[in-house]
Amino acid sequence: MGGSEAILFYIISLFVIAGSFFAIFSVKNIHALISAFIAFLNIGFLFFILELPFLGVVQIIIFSVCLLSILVVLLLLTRQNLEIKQKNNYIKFFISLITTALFTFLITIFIKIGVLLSDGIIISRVIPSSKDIAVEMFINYGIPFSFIGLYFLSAMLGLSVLMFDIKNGKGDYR
Amino acid sequence: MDYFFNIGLYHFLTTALILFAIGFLGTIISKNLLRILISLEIMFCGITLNIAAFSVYCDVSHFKGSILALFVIILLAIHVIIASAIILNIYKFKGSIDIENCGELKE
Repeated sequence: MGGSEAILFYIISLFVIAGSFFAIFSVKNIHALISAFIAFLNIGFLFFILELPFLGVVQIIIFSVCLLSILVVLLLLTRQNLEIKQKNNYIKFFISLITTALFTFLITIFIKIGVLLSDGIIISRVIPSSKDIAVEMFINYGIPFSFIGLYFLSAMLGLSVLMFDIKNGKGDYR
Repeated sequence: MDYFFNIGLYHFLTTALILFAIGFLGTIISKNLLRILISLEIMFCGITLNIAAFSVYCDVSHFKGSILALFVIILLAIHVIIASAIILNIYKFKGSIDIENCGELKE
């Protein structure tokens, strides 16, 4: 990658990290959802930088559009007053921060060990096209793909069961 | 200086690691179920980015990583749909989606 792509990568990474940070720490839930939208959109752009356009498009469609639409509807249905109650969470916050820092440090060490062990493996980049991915998925990964489809179908059935109003004995899909 | 302008595997891994750490932190400290769901999504995004980066830089002829990342995205979509249904039911019975009101199983 050249200099311009590097600058683009840093800008997009900054948007990703800032968006995910504000998705956690912003006060209002609707601001958290907007920040999460920005983060997920920019992760899709990171896939484009990685030269995986198929994954980028899937990421933008599924995460940024579908899932966040579901979350906005969820926010409206649960009638949140859009504020989070902060109840002296500072000690818990600092303990969590220290735990996360330790966790990050440990993962960094594991990545470093893994990179050292696999030093000769990183060879060169071959860019898969969408057609290659589709052929690979439907020929060599047909069975896992079918299982994913069955899992999705059973999830839809489970969703219908969860939404069924048991007390009144009739479907209440709200 | 060369390290900063030659984007490689480590840069993507670092971004994925930061994303995972932020999602983990949010999962621990949040009390709102919706916020916890967003944190889990961010964690999964970090995992997907990690898998995609490894598939691009370490996999020469096969596309296992890309297909695995695609499966992770689909599974996350299923997970969010089911979690939304569970959160709606919790709201229906409890009147709020604060996790402090959902601790009856531990009693």
